Amino acid sequence: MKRVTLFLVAIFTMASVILNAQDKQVVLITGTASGFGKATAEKLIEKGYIVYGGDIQVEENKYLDKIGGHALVMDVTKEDQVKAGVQKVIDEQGRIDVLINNAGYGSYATIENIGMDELNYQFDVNVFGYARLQQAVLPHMRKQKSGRIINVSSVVGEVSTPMLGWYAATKHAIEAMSDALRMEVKHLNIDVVKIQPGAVKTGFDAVAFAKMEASYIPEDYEELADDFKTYMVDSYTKVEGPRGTADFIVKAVEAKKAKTQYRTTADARLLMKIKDWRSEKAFDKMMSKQLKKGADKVRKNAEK
Amino acid sequence: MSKKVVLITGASSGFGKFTALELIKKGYVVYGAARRIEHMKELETTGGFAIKMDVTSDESVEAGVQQIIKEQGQIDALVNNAGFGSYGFVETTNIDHMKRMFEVNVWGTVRVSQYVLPHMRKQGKGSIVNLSSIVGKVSTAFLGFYAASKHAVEALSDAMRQEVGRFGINVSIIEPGAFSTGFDGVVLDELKLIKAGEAYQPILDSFIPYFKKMYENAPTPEPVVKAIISAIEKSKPKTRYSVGVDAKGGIMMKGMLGDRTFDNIMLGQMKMK
Ligand SMILES: NC(=O)c1ccc[n+]([C@@H]2O[C@H](COP(=O)([O-])OP(=O)(O)OC[C@H]3O[C@@H](n4cnc5c(N)ncnc54)[C@H](OP(=O)(O)O)[C@@H]3O)[C@@H](O)[C@H]2O)c1
Repeated sequence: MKRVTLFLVAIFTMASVILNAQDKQVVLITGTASGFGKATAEKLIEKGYIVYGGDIQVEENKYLDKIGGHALVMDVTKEDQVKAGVQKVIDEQGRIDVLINNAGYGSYATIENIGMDELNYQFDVNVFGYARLQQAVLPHMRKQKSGRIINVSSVVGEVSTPMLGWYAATKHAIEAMSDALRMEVKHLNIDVVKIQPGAVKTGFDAVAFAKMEASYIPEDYEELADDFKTYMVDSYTKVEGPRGTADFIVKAVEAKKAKTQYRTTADARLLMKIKDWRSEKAFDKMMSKQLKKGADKVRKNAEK
Repeated sequence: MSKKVVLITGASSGFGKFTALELIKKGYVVYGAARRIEHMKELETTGGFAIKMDVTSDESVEAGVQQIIKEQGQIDALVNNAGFGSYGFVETTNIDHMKRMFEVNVWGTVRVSQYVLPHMRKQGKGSIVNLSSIVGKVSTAFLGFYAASKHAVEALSDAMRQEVGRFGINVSIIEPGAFSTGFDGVVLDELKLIKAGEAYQPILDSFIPYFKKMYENAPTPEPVVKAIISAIEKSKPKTRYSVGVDAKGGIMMKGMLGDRTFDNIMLGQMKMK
């Protein structure tokens, strides 16, 4: 009797694995403890996807298990953790249909003053972190002869501004890596999509400001830093939350033929248009004027 | 008027070497920096100064910049040119191997700039010229990480330009296409160190002849040297100089065509379809 039950259980599990594999797509997302990752995980679970979410913030990531997803402990700078996470998905589901590379962060700093440790670490998370995940899932996608990799870039993947240069450098690098990869795996029926949000209220700004506070800023740069901070702190109280961008990510998952990139916020689309229209020097001037004017306006309103 | 003092990294070969020699001829005080100091003899015999420098080392860069300040009291121009290409597929390339390239191309550019900028700010003038590449603007199969390093150079240079313009410091980006220097030799040496993996081997096999042929036919570096010197000499230099028909064409094409069409053209050209 016991044997029969075991046998039946085995059959059921196998069948459910096969069925799951057929109707429910398996998605792995990094950085699901907050922001875009969390909003996207929630939406995809609601839609019936099998969602695995990796994050370094273990406690904040536990909600996933409660809403029908699967939380993974994953520091994207640690190759063994990345590999173990991907292996777990394969062991349990037999496949990975979609990878959403999203774990990343920024720091506000001028190029002259950013610390070497920060240079290294930000690239290790933002760029090489994406690379580690890609390298771990691609052998499986190649075996399946299908797959989609969605890399969260940024509007600063294509433009770069004062105080955001290093973060922009990581995002520019992600753009180049994604473009190359898209060409390299095209013949394997794997697609690569870039997501370019503008300013969105997530955990991003708090981290970036904290890094700025902790860094040394020479007197020469104080005015720029102060304008930047005044303007940006105020902007972040007004910008939209992550759900709109998550909708675009879901679109990138579901579209039969995805676009190569999705600009997810109005400011991202506008900035890109302005950049295309104007000469670079005019763009620089506009950015610095906008910063100064924006900061002055915030200061004036605060006085009132 | 005192002579202008220029620091050029990667002056032991290629663009850096030719730029150094040309600037010496024009009367500049030229400091050439590289690891292979023995390759900078000509630079010294023609009146320049050679500094042994590894741009990945803080001590080495700090010492080099200190020496120039001690000897000349100023640095008017910095050419961040030290760099190399390591190619490979995104899936199968060892990440630590790629980091070595970022350490030179990206971190190195930032490191030397960080040591030089305080002096330029004090002077209230200066120019910085950063060597990017056509692949700082477009990226293609098999050189994703190299392109990523140059895209990063573009972003940090754009930010730097906007940050230091207020101090009277100019920042320009040079985007060469393929030119005949020591570059392709280094790329081919690096290729010996990578494993493409079975799935990608055929692409690699067709890439190598394509690459060799491209560099056999590549023009000599004068136009790039000219662009670098123009970026140093003009009081209002261009923000970026794309040099070479392939660089100008590639960047224009990318702007005009959709990504997928561009992908197909590139893959077709590299016979990687
Ligand atoms: N040639 C092209 O087709 C092409 C196209 C676009 C962009 N570029 C860019 O142009 C720049 C110059 O390259 P090139 O074509 O002239 O190549 P090259 O002839 O190989 O010269 C490269 C120079 O970089 C130096 N270098 C490398 N690593 C260094 C380190 N850690 N510290 C200090 N110096 C270092 C080398 O000197 P040591 O080895 O003696 O240190 C050498 O002098 C590079 O940034 C390259 O990416 C070249």
